[in-house]
Amino acid sequence: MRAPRPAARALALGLVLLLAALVGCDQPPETELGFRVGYPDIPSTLLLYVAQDQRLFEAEHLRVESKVYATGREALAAAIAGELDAAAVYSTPLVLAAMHGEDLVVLSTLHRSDGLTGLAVNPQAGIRTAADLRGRPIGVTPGTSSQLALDVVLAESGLEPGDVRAVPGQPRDLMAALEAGELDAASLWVPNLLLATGPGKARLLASEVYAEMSMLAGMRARIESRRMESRRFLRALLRAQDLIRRRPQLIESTLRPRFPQLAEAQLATIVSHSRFELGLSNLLLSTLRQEGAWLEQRGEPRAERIRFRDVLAPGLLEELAPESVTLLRPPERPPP
Amino acid sequence: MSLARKLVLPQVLILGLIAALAATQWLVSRHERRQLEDSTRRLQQTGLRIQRLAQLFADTERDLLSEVTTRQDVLTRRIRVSNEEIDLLLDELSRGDAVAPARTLLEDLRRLRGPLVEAQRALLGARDPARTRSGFVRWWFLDQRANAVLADLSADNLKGVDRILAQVASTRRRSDLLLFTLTVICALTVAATALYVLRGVVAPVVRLTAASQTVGDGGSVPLLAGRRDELGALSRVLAGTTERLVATNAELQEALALRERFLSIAAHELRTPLTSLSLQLALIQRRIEQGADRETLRANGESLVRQAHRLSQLVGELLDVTRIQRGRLDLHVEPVRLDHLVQEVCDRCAALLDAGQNRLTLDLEGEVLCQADPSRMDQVLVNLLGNAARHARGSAITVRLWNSAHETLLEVRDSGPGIPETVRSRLFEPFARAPGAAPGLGLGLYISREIVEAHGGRIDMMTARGEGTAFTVHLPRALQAPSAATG
Repeated sequence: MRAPRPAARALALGLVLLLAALVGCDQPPETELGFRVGYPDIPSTLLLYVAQDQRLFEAEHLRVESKVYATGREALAAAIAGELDAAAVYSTPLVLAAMHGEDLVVLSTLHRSDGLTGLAVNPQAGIRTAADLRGRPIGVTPGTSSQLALDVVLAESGLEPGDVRAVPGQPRDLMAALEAGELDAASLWVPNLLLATGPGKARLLASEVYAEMSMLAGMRARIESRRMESRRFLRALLRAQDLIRRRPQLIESTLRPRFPQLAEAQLATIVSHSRFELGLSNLLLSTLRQEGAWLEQRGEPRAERIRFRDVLAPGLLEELAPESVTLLRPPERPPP
Repeated sequence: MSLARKLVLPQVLILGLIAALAATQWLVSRHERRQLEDSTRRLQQTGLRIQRLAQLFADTERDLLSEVTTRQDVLTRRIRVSNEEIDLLLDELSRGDAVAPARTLLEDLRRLRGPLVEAQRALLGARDPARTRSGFVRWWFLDQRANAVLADLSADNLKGVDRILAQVASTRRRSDLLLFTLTVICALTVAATALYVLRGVVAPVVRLTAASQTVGDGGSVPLLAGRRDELGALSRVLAGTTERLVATNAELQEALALRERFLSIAAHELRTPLTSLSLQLALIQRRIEQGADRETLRANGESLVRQAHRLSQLVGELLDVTRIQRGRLDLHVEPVRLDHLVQEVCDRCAALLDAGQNRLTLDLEGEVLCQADPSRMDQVLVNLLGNAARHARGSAITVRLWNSAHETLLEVRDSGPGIPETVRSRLFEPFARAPGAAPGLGLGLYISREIVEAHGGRIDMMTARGEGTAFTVHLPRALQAPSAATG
């Protein structure tokens, strides 16, 4: 066999080197970044749990420092105070903070559910319908969704917030007071609502029309300065969402060890009434506006005219998962 | 594979690739067009339904609020009709091939429909302010949620354009990759074909041409080893032809050299008797002038006759050589009594042998018959006896004739000094002469061998230094005895 000519050999070598260069030309290794997030320890933060358990943050080269708070309102307060990059929070505390002038942005919803925030009614209080709540002591956690849930139940029965005696308190305290008979009802959310109600316990009284949404929010300047970290955080959550879509059993196996106090049926109730999805939608915008109007009606001070559309920051999510953003874009503003 | 096929196949391959390129482009374009058309039509249909839904939602809200405000009951039927159409439209949308998140949004909307219609009825049926207020709150919550979901559905539908564009872009990327791959393959095939034609066709042709130009100078055409195509065949033909040309050229050169040698020897050998003849004639002329006696003139005349005979013999040998080399040695074959022929030749050569002081012994079988030309066989025997007399003077010469099973054998043996080794190998070649040999053309043995071989026989020679030489003529034995044999 004739030996290949030098030119042919050089050409072949060049092709091999080019191929090797193309194959080896991968993305440079990402440097690890840090991200601090706070959240209440409730089932609605499932996507965070899945991302942690499945090491999806590590896969994104993101070192996540997480801190658990009693309520989303406290987590949001920590974010506003600069202790966190983002907080998992329900709509009410967020709207309230925005009305107080905090420059917040919502990166994405984390979940939405219905029937999982409502009243746990003392069975000995003789309350059959919402109309029977008039003049009763009812526990509520101010500045949280429990307040709105109570108001909706009252409004559906033709009552005003002032028609009941609101007793403020943290959920644990309210549960203890309810059990001790000091309260006739308490406005709670899961898992406390399900733990407080059931056979031999308090009776559940919830509005069919009230639905809650949790979301990932943070201070605008902080999020913008930590855009890369926020992007990786969201990408990990999107992977978590994909995981539970492909393996729905992952929802229960993730929640079960975190909430051992919940019975199997209670856990199933939570799962069946919840949808764990990232997104920025008109429904969220409508909810924020509705709650803003409600809080304003209740006399909450408002720093300035709020454009809730500006609170939603679809940029990052739209880059990562365009289909998750169904928010109608506002018309371009003319330059000042 | 033939050269024609080798050249045509790559062209066919390139044509096929070009056709594949064109077909791919056409298919991709058609697929993209259909994809765009189908998706656009589907989006338009969905968009129109959503638009109609939004209109019905707004109508229902307006009718409901008007009805609650005026309590005329005239709009209740209209609300019911609107609700029926809304449900119909939702059914139609749900039957489509919606995927997430549109499917999820449709589910949300359908799930809200029941409580919403129920809230509408409660609000329409409320006749006191408290019930109206609580009914309104419930309806309002549900209605604003339904509107928000509808807005999301509309937005998702609008985003379908992006999805279509993404699909088209994805298809385009794949087709671009395919087209690029096909183009690269096409280009490589063209390059390989060009390289093949250069190395496989042009280069061998150039080599053959260059080699052919050197044939005249003694060069040869190389064989294209391993090629079974037309070029291989051409190289083989050219190589064979060249080989034959070289061989023919060598033969011609040899023939020319032989002719020159022949002419040189012939001129030399003919000149000697001619000189002798002219001297003898001059001597006779002088003696006649001096009045020489009759006896002296007779002796001189005999010498002249011998010289003329010698000349005649030389010319005969030269003519024989010419005939042999032209393949025109004619034989007049007939049945011959070889024993008689041998006896006759030996008797005729007695004087020659006596002159050489050779003692001749004959050992002849009787009635040895042979199919032969008697004059040529006579010539052969005279040559052999003459050789023996010249080269083995004074020795005993034995002539034997006998039949074997298949041959007739004639042996002439002398007891002379033998033939030197340096001469043995070319003894039967024309003009071969031993060093110090007697004058002659050196054609006797050559002609004898040719004559014997023309009879289908052969001549063997055995010689040993100081022990003599034996020539044996082998002739095919005649199977039938002739009725009247010559000899």
